[in-house]
Amino acid sequence: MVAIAFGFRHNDTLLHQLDARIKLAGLVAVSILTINANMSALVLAFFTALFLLALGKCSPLRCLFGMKWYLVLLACVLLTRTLTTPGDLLIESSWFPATRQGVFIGLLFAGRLLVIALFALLVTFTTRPSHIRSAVAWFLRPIPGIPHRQVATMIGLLVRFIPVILTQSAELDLALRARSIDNRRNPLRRLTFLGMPLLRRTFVTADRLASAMEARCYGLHGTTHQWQVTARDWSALGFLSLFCFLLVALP
Amino acid sequence: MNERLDLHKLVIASLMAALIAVGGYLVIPIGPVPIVLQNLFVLVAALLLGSSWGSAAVAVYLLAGAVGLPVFAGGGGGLGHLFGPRGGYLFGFLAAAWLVGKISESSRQQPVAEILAMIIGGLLIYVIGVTWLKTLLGISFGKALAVGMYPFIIGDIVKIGAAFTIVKSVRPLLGIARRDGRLATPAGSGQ
Repeated sequence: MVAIAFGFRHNDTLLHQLDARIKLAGLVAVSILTINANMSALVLAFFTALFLLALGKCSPLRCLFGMKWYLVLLACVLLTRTLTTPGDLLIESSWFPATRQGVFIGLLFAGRLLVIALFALLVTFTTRPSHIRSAVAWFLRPIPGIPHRQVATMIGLLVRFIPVILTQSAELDLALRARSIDNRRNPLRRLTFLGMPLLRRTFVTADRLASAMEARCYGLHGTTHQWQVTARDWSALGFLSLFCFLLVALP
Repeated sequence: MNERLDLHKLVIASLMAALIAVGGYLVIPIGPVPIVLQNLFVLVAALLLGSSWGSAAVAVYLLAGAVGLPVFAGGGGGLGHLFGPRGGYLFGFLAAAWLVGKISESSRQQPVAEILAMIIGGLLIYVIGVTWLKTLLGISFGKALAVGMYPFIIGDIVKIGAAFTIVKSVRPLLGIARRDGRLATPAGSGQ
């Protein structure tokens, strides 16, 4: 999930061209509305997410493969709900008290989390980190007491740092393999060999980045992003509103 | 000078928020609350950055997750996660980061005090997390402790040791510590 979710891929699709504020607002709306969504709304949201991923030239199958650990987590949610919810037994067995109602509730809970994850992936895949930062600043600006530029810059850096950490981790892993360190039996020792250099490297990278930002007189009161809302964005907002209405209204 | 210092802290706090997120991707799903490395990096953030910037790093991480970015355990995101069974632990991170940072600052980074601060911070995460879990799932306190605390204690002790080692290793690399004058300049750094 990580590599795909945070790896913005430049492309020229409709989703890449959309206003980041609309995409972020859509993500927040979907994450709120799916908290209490029913099964039919979830099915609609799931297939919409897959369709949009394909539209953004992000293979849905690759996304699901990238989310394998998250899917394991969701399987745990499903299993826990299946076994702990009282109702009609699926199999007459005392050691596996799975119930029909448990399966339904488990699917509902896991489905809600999966739909949010897919939409989140869609947004980070099709939106530049700098645009996410600007959109966050735009949304936080009216809230008093929150240093919106600072928070937005930090979120932008967070989104930017995750792929950097993962890339450095992959490079170090290859370097360790080349030196046969992965053959060591003690897992703690292997972890130390990977973890400590990785952390030191990422901190040095961050410190250098801060120095580079200082050298370029980076300030929190720099030029803000110039938003250009087109008819396409308004249409997307209309579709988003209709989609949100359906999520709430579907029986 | 202060603005210069703030920019370094801002970048390091963002890095810590990113590391907390990456720590959440390495998931060992053993129940409603999976084993992750998030709390390790929360403790590291608090010790490296202090109470205000440490808690700011956690707050930014929570905000990024709340708006839906996939930064929570396993790559999840959204308000459903924040207010789900694990929500108490996530809010506990914020309180723990502030408390651990505060103790570390007031003790002038004494090793014993820092380890004690991490133990107290870890307990604070469990107090908030287990209470939240109990309330949300409607289970008994004993059961909430069994699924939300006992399986993680040994791992947390190891994480406290790891966090202390990381902090000792990383602190001299950071411009923040050098400029604050809290640490001696590393030999050969030329500053």
